[in-house]
Order: sequence, then structure tokens, then C-alpha cells
Amino acid sequence: MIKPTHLQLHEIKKILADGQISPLTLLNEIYQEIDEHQNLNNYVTLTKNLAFQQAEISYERIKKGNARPLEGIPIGVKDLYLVKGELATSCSEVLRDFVAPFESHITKNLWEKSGAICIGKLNMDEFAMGSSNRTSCFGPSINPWSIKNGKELVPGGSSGGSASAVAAGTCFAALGSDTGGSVRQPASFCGVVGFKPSYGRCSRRGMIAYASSFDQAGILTRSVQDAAIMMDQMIGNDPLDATSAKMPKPNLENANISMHGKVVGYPANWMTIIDESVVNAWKKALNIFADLGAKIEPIELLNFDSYLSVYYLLTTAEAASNLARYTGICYGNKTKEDIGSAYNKTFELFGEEVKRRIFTGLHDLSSENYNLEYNLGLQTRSYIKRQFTDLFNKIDLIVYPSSPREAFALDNVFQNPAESYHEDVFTVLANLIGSPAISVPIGYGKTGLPLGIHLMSEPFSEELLISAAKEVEAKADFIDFLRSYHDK
Amino acid sequence: MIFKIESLSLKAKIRVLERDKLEADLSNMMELIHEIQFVGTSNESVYSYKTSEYRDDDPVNIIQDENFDPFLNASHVEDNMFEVEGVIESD
Amino acid sequence: MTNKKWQMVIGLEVHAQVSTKSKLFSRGSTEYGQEPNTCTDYLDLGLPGALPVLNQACIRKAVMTGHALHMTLNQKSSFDRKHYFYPDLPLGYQITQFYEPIAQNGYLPIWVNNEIKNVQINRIHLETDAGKSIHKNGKTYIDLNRCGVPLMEIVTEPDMHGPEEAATFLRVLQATLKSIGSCDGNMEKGQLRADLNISLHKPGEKFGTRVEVKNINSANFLKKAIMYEYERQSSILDSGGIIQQETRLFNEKETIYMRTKEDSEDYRYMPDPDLPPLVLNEEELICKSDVRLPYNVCKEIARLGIKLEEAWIVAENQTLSDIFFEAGKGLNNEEKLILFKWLIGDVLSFINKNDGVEIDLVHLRNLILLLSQEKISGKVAKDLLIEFIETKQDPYYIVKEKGLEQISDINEITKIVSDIMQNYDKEIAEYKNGKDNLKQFFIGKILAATQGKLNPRLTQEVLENYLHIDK
Repeated sequence: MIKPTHLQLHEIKKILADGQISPLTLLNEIYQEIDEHQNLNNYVTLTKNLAFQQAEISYERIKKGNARPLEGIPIGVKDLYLVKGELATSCSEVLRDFVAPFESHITKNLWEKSGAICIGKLNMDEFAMGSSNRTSCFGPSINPWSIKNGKELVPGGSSGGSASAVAAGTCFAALGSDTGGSVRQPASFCGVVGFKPSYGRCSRRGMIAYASSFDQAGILTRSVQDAAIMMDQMIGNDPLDATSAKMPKPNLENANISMHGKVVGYPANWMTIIDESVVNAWKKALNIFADLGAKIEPIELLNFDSYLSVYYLLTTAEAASNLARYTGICYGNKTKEDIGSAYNKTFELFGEEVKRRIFTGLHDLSSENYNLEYNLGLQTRSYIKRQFTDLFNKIDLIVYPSSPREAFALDNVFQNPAESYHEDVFTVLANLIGSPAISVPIGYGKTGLPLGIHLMSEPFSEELLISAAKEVEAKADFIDFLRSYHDK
Repeated sequence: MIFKIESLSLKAKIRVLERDKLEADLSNMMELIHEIQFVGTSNESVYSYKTSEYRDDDPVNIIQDENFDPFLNASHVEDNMFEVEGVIESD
Repeated sequence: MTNKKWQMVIGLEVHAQVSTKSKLFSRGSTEYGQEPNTCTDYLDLGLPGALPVLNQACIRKAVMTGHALHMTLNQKSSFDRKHYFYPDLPLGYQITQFYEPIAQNGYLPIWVNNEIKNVQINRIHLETDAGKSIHKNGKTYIDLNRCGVPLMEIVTEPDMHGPEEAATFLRVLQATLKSIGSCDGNMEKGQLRADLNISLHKPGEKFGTRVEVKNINSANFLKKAIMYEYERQSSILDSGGIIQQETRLFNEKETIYMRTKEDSEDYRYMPDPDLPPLVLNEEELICKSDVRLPYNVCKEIARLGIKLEEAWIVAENQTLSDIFFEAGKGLNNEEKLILFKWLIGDVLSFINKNDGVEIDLVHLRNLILLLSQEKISGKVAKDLLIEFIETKQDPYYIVKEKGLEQISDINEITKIVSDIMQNYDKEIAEYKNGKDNLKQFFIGKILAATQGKLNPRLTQEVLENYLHIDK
């Protein structure tokens, strides 16, 4: 029999509701799992007091028959969400001791309205800047698939801890955040589902910002249905986030739009420049859609670097601005070193990658460069957005790989920053245009590690996207980590 | 590409320890970023949806209503004020 | 004070606190004088995860201000981050409108030497205030209650040429903002502050180098700062020196050096990615105040033949100008003139002594009519003013009841005057011998004997005749 902790979220939801397992028992088992997987370094804080209080309430509610939608389901939270009274570090030395003085909009709703249980905070790249979870001040999170070839692998990033924890069965779903692929790329590396809705769908209030006009909450789960159930509880207008969308809420759990007659586009010009095993997985996905009666059409997109350039230009500038608040006066750690009065003792604690991005951002924003750099970035983003608005008049879905490769080794060294930024080549596009996008496991790469397929549709068309993802998932012959190694 | 590292460092108030490495990294990043010139431009808004642009003029005392402690994470507090490390000249 | 050799050009940047209950982007209270750091919201402390949301009242009030200053309102404006590091700015940036302000290109009518002048205004933008740094015992402490308070920055063109003119501008602006309710204008509470830009040049030559003076919080200080700068700059120029482009600070006596242009920071303005552009709908765009604007009141009163500067006494005082228009309904220009003179005299001093007193404006109008029709004398009117306010009775009624009506019948006056004058033969003789000042003595005696009921103009005439005939 499969351990309860290894079930999918929609399965445990039913078992909890039926009273077959108490939320308290389940929680104990989850913490046992976490304990057994300490080597993965996924949890940077365990919120046990909070979790058991919540589980008590869930227990009572289930007993009284007024269970909420996620009653008693243990959830992991990327450490950039503020959970009031708990540490919220963004995995940075700067915030290593920072106790959240208020609660993020999303987590508040998940605990209070949906009845989910907060088990702990998950490892990530510092301030969400990175694609391998190696910039965390708590050290890297490890991909559970490392077992496969006996070599430590990265889980991807920046939501690496979230993806790894979901894959390893130490939570049923994990909150992530996605600025340029931070949910989808680690999902691909860990063989789980990573879903980012349209920009504006989820409130950003109480999420520690990286680049405000790109950041969006995301979810990592072991199935598309689980992602849909979670996202139904996360989406909603927040009048205290000015960029939050006033749009009707979708119903993703029941999304079931037929792919018959839909037009699926794939950037044919990208196919020639990536690894063959990745191309094969891609073709497999396209065939699934063809079999479902969709029309498959080649489309032409710009080269990768065009999108990456706009993404890195704008996000570094926004990051430089967003991180200016860590002045160390109202909060934030300081270095004990004497560095002179020209420098800030809190900024000193930023990691190398964060500093690099701040410098790049400052350079782009400085008055002598503004029009040639930052403002050009804004206008180019607008141009790309326009192109895709036109494209989505003809195409329903754009399909390509989530990442150009499988998870890489923890000790893999990038030659330079730009090389590491190419980890995001496929994912940044959705953030540039505000589209919903999802990574669904589709198969394995040349070393037998998971590969995800990336689906993207026009903004606010999540029901279509989730319907498509459910179809791909059903037809992909992929076996996730738990079923590959534990529940055979 | 020449970077005014000293000037950037002072603007950022961030010390630079490995100047050459930073210079090389920034050059490398700007090389990627400069691909942008070949894309195209437009001035349309990127917001294609209705946003929550306003709030009513209702003050909220979060210290009372949301049990907020402004000094929860502050290192030095005196007379309900944040103490700044070192003496700051007036602006 | 100014010599002919150097002309000055003045521009102002006025920071007016928008009168609201909560801050521009946070829900913190704007109430003055609270315990430190008790009016703070998450955003004001620059906490991670805190987001700005625009206060609708600020938009309405900025639009109203734009209309009052004859400006073009921008349907689309946007908010930008202006970056600098200072302990009382926890976000590391101020939110302002650098690239696309809410209103542009307008003017405010003021007067210079009794002529109307439209001072050109470049822009109004909304922005957040910073917190307060308190220096004591060699340490710095931060109170963030002010942080995030909404300000309108009103920027003029370099369009003024003297200390009086600039001070008048500031006073007219202050009254205008107060009248439409967009700023309470209390300078002691820092609700209105000005930065001064001033340069000197020779007549006919191009403008000189501009010096900025920060931190001026009253019209009088503005005059002082301008005069100080004029002296300072002209003496440098006279001795062949050159003016540095610099920022100076006014300490209520003199301006002191703060920084030069070269030290000035690069603010790295960028559109705030947390705030979508502000797009006003038609209804929001036409949001106008329906109050009488002080400068219009001033112009209207001046049309009665009153100097603009004097008319301003009523125009800038909301209560007086309300009284002027209400009580003035149906009055002709001569009567309005009488009303105006009474307003800046007895009425104003009565109001000043009796805070919050209610004056029946129909009764006031009747008092003015009694005066203009010469039914009562000025002396009677002075007492009557107080009496009708206190008793809430119609002056017509009081005049009739108490028999205060002025005697304007020439025969009757002649009789009364000769009756009284019979008692002063000795003085009359002295008068006739050249003691001219005794005329005032006679008038005094006549007024006292008649409780001021005689028409003073006719009485004077009759007295002249009386003294003259016998001469």
C-alpha cells in the first residue's frame, strides 16, 4: 500500500474528508518524511507550532462536517512568502533572522479560507535569483533524483526546495514563485508539475519581491489536477495589490476544454538548436495534441537571446530598486565587519549573484543609460507583448520544452553569468508577456532524468491551459520519483 | 564595455572586492542584454486587464487592528524610534 | 533693496500636503502630532512584501488643484521611483511622478503693483513625503509617521522677479489650495513648504546660474531668503566672481551651502513596477471644486475700485469672502464698496474677537442699506453692528424701536444746531478770532447732544453756514 504521504493532493483530500486519516496523524507522518529527507536540505524552517494548531482546527472541522476545500492538507511554502510570526528569509543572510510581521495574501487565504496546513518554509535561490538553488544562504537544496546516477543534482531554481520537496513526498503541494521560470524549470528538473498563472492572477502582497512586473505566485504539485485544485484557492483579486487583476475566477479543477480543433504552435526555429533527447520529448507532446485532434502549426519566434536580453535588462533594474529597501534600519542583519561609511552594512550581506544583478540594474537605470537601456527595455517588452497578442489570435497554445536540458550536477560550474542565464531560455517568455504557463513531466532525457514540456496560452486563459496539461499528463508515459523509487 | 565601477559601487553603497571579476561579469551580462537592440519597440501598455488601481481614503491603524509591531525586527529602538547606527548628517 | 544692475529671476517648487486622512500609497494615518511610528503601515517601514495602492482622494484633490491652476490634466500619468539612500526613506526610493505628471502647463493669477499677473506653472505631480530624522545626544532616530504622506509638488516656471511677487504667489497659492480643500496650508505643521530657485542677470542678457534654496516654510521667510540670496549673489557678481550651481539651505536668517550640482545624486528614475499607469476617466478628469477661488474674489472686489492688495484681505479669508458675496446680493457697486470697507474694518475685528460667531447676512445687508441711504450715521452703525449680531434682530427694527434713525432734514438739523450753539457764544467768538480747531469741538458737542443721529455730512454743512453767517 502507498504511504499516505506519497499520495497526490486530490487523493489525500478525499481520504481526509472521509475521515480515513486524521489531519494530526498525517501531519506527524509528513514531519517524519521531512526528517528522513534532511539530506535534501529543502526545509529551512519548520513551522510545527502553527501546523499543529491548524491541524487541530482541521480535525474539528472535518468531524463537524464543515471541511474547507483544502482541509488538513500539509503544504510547503517557498521562503519568500510572509507567514506571520515565522521566519521569512528569502534565503538571504540579510533576512536570516527576519520574522514576518504580517501574512501574505495568498497564505492567509490558504490557511484561513481553504484550511490548508503550513508545515514549513522551503529553500530557494537568494531573493529568487538563480536557476539551481545554489545561491541560498542555507546551502543548496538537492534534487531527489540524485539517487539515479549517484551524483548530487540541482533541483533547479529558484523554487528548488519547493520542487524537490514535492517530488520527494515531504508535502502535497508547495508554493513557489515564478519571475522567469522559477517554478517551471525546477518542476522540469524534479519531474513534477509547475504552474504559473497569468500575471495579476494572484496577489503579490506579502511575497518578498524580486522583479515586481514579472513576479507571480506559482504552485508545484505531483499532478496537474493537484495544481488546478491549489490554484483555484490561490487566484483572486486583491484590492491591496495595485497590479492584481479584476477578472472572473476560473474553475481549474473542473477545466475540461477539448483540444479538438485547437491550434497548437511550436517554434520550429528553436528545434534545431537543442539536444536531440529534448527534441524527442517535445515531438512526443506535439503528437499527443495531434492525436487529440489539434492542429499543429510551426511558428517563428525570435532567437532565445532576444527574449533573455529584455528579461535580464528589466529584472535586474527592478531588482536593484526592490532591494534598495534592505537598509538595515527597520529590520535586516548587518555585517560585523568595519567596511567604512560609504557602504551599507546590510547590503554587504547580499550574495554574489544578487550583488551582480544590483550592479547591472544600477548601470541600466543610471541617467546616462536610461534611454538606451532601461527605457528601451520597456519599449521592447511592449513590442514583444504586441507580437504575442497578435499570435494568440491565431494560435491557442504554444508548446516547447521547459528547459533545454535535464537536471545538472551540483558541482557543475558556469563559465560566466550569461551561461547560467540560458537556463531560463524557454521560460522567461511567459513572464515577459504575462501569460499563464505550466511545465508537465513528459519523459526523460539522455541520462534518464525527468524532462518537462512547457505549455503557454494567452493571458487569463488558464482553463484552456490546464485542460491541455491534463491531456498531456494522461498520455505522457512518465513515472514520478515516488513511484519510480518507493511505490513500485 | 567600460563600467564606472567606483561610481556604481558608491551609488549602490556596496563594496566591490573583486573589481576585475565584476567588470568581466558585467561585460558578459551587458553583451547578452545588448541583444535587445535587434528586437523592436512599441509604446503600448503591458497591462491588458483591469487592475486594482485605487483605494478609498480610509486610514487603518494596523498596530491595533492587525496586531502589528513596527519594532519586531529592529535592532536599536529608543522612545518608539528606530536608532540609526552612526551619526547621519541632515539632508 | 535691489539695485538696477542685477535683475532676478525666481522659480518656486512648492510642496503642499494633500489633505487626506490616509497616506498616498499606504493606509497609515496622516494625523499630525501622534506618537512616533504609530501612523505607519507596512509600506512606510519599507517591509518586504509591502505594496503601494493609490489613495483615490489624492487623485481627486490633485485634479481639482490642476483645474484651479488652469492646468492641462493628463488623462494618463504614471508613478516613478526616485532612488536615494537616507535613513528616513525606508524603501530606498520616493514614489513620485517624474516622467508623466498628473497636470502640466497652467498659471496662477497674482498681482504686482496692482496689476494682475499670471505666474506660469510648469507641473503638478503627486509624491510621497519622507520620514523625520531626529538628532539628539549625537545619535539619529527615525520617526516614520510622515513617511508616505501625500504631497503635491507645484513647480512654477522661472517667472517671478522680486521678493514681494514671490511672497504674493505663495500666499495666493496657499489660499487657493485651502479654498478648494486640497491642502490645509498650515505652514507650522509643514503642510506647505517651498524650495526657491533664484538667479541674477543684467537687464537684456540671458539668465544667470541658478541657485536652489531648500526648506522655506512661510511667505516672510521666502522674502528673507530671496533678499539674502540677492545680496549674496550680486556682491559675488559685482566683485567679478561667478555663481556656482548649488543647493543651499535656509535657516530662517541666511542661506547656507549644502551641496553643488556635481555632488547631486543620480536618482535613477524608473516607472514603479508595483503601480500600473494612472488613467483617469472623463468623470475623474472634470472633477472641479465649485467654491469661489480667492484670486477670482480678489479680482471681482478690485473692480469696485479697490486695490488688489486690499481686496485680498477679504479674498483670502474664506469667512469674509462668503459674507461679502452673501450679504452683497442685490447691492449696487457703491453699496458693495461700503460693505467691503465694513468687512475689513468692524466686521473683521468683531469676528476676530468673537470666534465662531454667526452673523445674519440679511441683517448685515440691511445695515449697509441703512448706511448707504444715510438713514443712520457711521457712529450709530458701529453700535448697531454689535447689537444686531448679539440680539439677532433686524437693524431696521432696532433703528425704528430705538429711534436711531439719522436726521437728514436740513431744517430740523439747522434748528438743532442753532439750539446747541447758543450755549457756546464764548467759543464762537474765539473761533471767529482765528481759533480754527474749535470746529472739531463744536462737532463733538453736537454729536454728543444728538447721540450721533444727525447726518454728519449735512451737520457739517449746517455748522459751516452757522459759523460763516455770523462771521
